Amino acid sequence: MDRRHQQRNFLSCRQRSNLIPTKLVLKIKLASDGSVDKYKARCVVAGYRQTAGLDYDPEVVYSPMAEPTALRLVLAISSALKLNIDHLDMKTTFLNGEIPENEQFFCSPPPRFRVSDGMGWLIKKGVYGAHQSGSIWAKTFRTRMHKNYPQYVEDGNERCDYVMRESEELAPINLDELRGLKIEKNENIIIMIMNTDDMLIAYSDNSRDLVDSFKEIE
Amino acid sequence: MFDDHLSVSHYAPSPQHTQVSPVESHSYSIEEDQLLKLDTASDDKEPDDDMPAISVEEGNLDTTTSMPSSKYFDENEFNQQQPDSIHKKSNVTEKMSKDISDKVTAAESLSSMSSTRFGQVYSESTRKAKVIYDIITGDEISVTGFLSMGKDDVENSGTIKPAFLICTLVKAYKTLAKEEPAMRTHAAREIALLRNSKTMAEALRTPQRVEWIDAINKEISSLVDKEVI
Repeated sequence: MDRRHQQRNFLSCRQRSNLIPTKLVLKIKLASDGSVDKYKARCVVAGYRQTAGLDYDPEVVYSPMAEPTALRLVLAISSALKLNIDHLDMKTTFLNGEIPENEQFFCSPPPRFRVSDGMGWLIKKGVYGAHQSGSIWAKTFRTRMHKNYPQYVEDGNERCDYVMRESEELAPINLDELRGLKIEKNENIIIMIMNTDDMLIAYSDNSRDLVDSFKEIE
Repeated sequence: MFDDHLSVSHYAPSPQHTQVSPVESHSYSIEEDQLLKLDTASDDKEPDDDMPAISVEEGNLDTTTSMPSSKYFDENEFNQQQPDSIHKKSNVTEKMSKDISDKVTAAESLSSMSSTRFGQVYSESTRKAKVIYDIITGDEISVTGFLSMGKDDVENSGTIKPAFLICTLVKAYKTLAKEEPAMRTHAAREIALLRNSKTMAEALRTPQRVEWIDAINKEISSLVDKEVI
């Protein structure tokens, strides 16, 4: 086969494969009594059409998740110390993580969205369905926690568990020196587990204001 | 977004494809009237759900679309899985089981077989035999218009799964629409409420068109506001 012909075929294939298709996933959300709560549409990217090495780095797609044992341990500690437990659901989580410039990719709009030939959406942040979205969000969240909330300490090797403990005078307490399950009066303690977009928070009564402010910021 | 203008970047593929960069900006808009005309071919490619497609436009119920090819009862499986103990118990049961086998064979010759799938609408279009046989008496039982329920349709707590209930309700409304033409509009609206639209074309044909457009606008707006695209 003519070499020029081969090259032309290669380019046209690459051009087609580089535009990642998107789709709108429609869902009727029902309330607890069975009535229609809301109509929800979510724009997702066909991640299976992404090319490893071009559209994402295959070695950086890891998103940390809390171990079930860690979750049970937090629940046990909360029970022993009589902590309050709350669950937070982050809205449009992935859309907050920024994609590195060398991994940004083009995608076509969902069906029925008119767009000229050769035009597409340049994805700059994480979107649902993309390979790197989970990893990017985890990085963004961790960086934000280190920068804005330095009093929250990562719990051992768990990258998604954070513990904040302060005395009544708001002096930080060294967690490594603690022995036994004890908590002083008027002490602030917050234990947080982040599983992608689901957050579990255990906190003492004194820390309620801190948790509320954290909720507002997020 | 349907009303507002969006800016998109020009897609400029490079031979090496190591980097892609926006070259120029372009604006476009989508009008609602054009939505129904655009990209019908692409929607046809999208996989349909298990439920039969139904048109509810202008209150007309279209039940002519093909039903999913499922099977109410697997006669082959039933015939093969008869335990030996049943045949050895007595002559009466042996004779009865023989009669059942004969009838099953006759039914097999009449019908085109497919694999058993619980919780599916009994397909009238692809099946000719619409009877099953009582295990004890061997009598024929007509199952036309009935739904089959299996273990997959029941939760561990013993309650029936919502998916099966929805399937049952849709079937009931279809039967109602067939028998009473005056109720077709009402049935079509109820079916549209029960079903979760899979594609945008499907959603825009439902009476909840406005709600779906609002939801889509909201999602695209959030993408623009957060500077995802």
